[in-house]
Amino acid sequence: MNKLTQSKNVKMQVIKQMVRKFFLIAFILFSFVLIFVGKPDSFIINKTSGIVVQVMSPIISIISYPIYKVGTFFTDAKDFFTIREKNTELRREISKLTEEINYYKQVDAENVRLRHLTNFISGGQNYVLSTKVIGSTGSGFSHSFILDAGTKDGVAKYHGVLVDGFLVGQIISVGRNYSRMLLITDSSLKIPVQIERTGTRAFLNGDNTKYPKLIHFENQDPIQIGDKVITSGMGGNLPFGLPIGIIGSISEEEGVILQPYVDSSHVDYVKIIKTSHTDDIKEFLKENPIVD
Amino acid sequence: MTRHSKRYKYFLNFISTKIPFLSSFLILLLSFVNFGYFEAKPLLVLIPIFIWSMYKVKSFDFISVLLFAFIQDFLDGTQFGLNIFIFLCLHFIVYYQKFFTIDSSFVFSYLVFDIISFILIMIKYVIISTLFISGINFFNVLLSWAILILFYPIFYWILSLLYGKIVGKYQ
Repeated sequence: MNKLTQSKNVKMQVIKQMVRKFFLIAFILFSFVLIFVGKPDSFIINKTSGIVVQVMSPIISIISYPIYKVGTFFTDAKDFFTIREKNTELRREISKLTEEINYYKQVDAENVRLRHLTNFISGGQNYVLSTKVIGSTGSGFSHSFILDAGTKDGVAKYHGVLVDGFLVGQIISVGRNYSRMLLITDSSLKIPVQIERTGTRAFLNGDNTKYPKLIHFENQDPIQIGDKVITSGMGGNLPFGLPIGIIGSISEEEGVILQPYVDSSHVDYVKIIKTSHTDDIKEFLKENPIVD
Repeated sequence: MTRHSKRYKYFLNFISTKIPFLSSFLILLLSFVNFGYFEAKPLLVLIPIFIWSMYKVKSFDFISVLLFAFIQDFLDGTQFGLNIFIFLCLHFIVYYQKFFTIDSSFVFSYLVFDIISFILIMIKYVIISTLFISGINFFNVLLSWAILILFYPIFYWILSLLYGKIVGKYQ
């Protein structure tokens, strides 16, 4: 009886192992097929991605906290040795800024009076949201950030993300409190752009290095190194005119390489543009002019 | 005293079943912490998948690996299914191989990990390069693999310690 039970158990174990192996192979084959036929923009993937970002982000945020603190501790320790020089510099800056504040107070008062006279309704700032970067992905295969803002803050898919007034990426999935953005250096993101000087349209496409490429040029207008590249507004997802960078190099082998205004590897805070209409953020663009 | 030790044993038994999953989950999320430099961030979660599959831990089956792959795929932003394929392949190769066992030396397991992870990362590179027009930078991929194998000894030491002290003892 005992031997019978034992052999039955062994048989059960073998069957279990076989079933396990079968499912594992089935999943491997299914995932391989999914890579080539799966649509990355499908509704289910987008929805699930939003949920995963929503669930995982608080945990990533908690794990990041001690690492961030250790990092700031070393920065603080480094600053301690230059504290005297910085103090003198800051005093000088304070007196300069006090003068500027007085000037701006006068301008502000005048501004309020003029707005009142012309019945002007300000809305520009409502479309811009500052938020913290709480996580990033890498591994040489993708460049993306997890941001501390979601649908409850009015963030939606395809909204543009800026640093210091320059475009650094685009929102790709959104949860209630968190969202995920792809950087312009990511190989799966394509942004319609145009050369500011000639108006030539093209697409910006990253290759997971710091310098994305310009591809699919609309025409053969001559472009030069140093030409400014801005969003073209085509596709209707991003407003027209957001500055991205300048043409860094042009060659036969490498193609046209963009030098972005911002190095995204050291970014802690970003601004999300919550609109695709240029008129909504005209005020914001005026306040953040392109610096040469 | 006996009741206490029984409870303690029960607790350790319970913990031993959770450690492989939790440690892998923690290492997976560690990959998403914003360290500043991200051009060649290593895919750290390959290490615990390799080690726990090598030890053939009962509580760490392919469902856990599948879950990690799903999370990685959704947070990563690369083509959906790519990480599922890579993670499950790693688990399959290591779990069903007959060449080395738990008793294999560290150097041997290190070499096997280097080779398998290199092949899998190259497969990932080829697939992504095929799917996207501009392709991706090969040097960054190679660098992320180099960083990954540099991290292997540290995680091997921590996870082996956990296996020797708790997981292997009480499971």
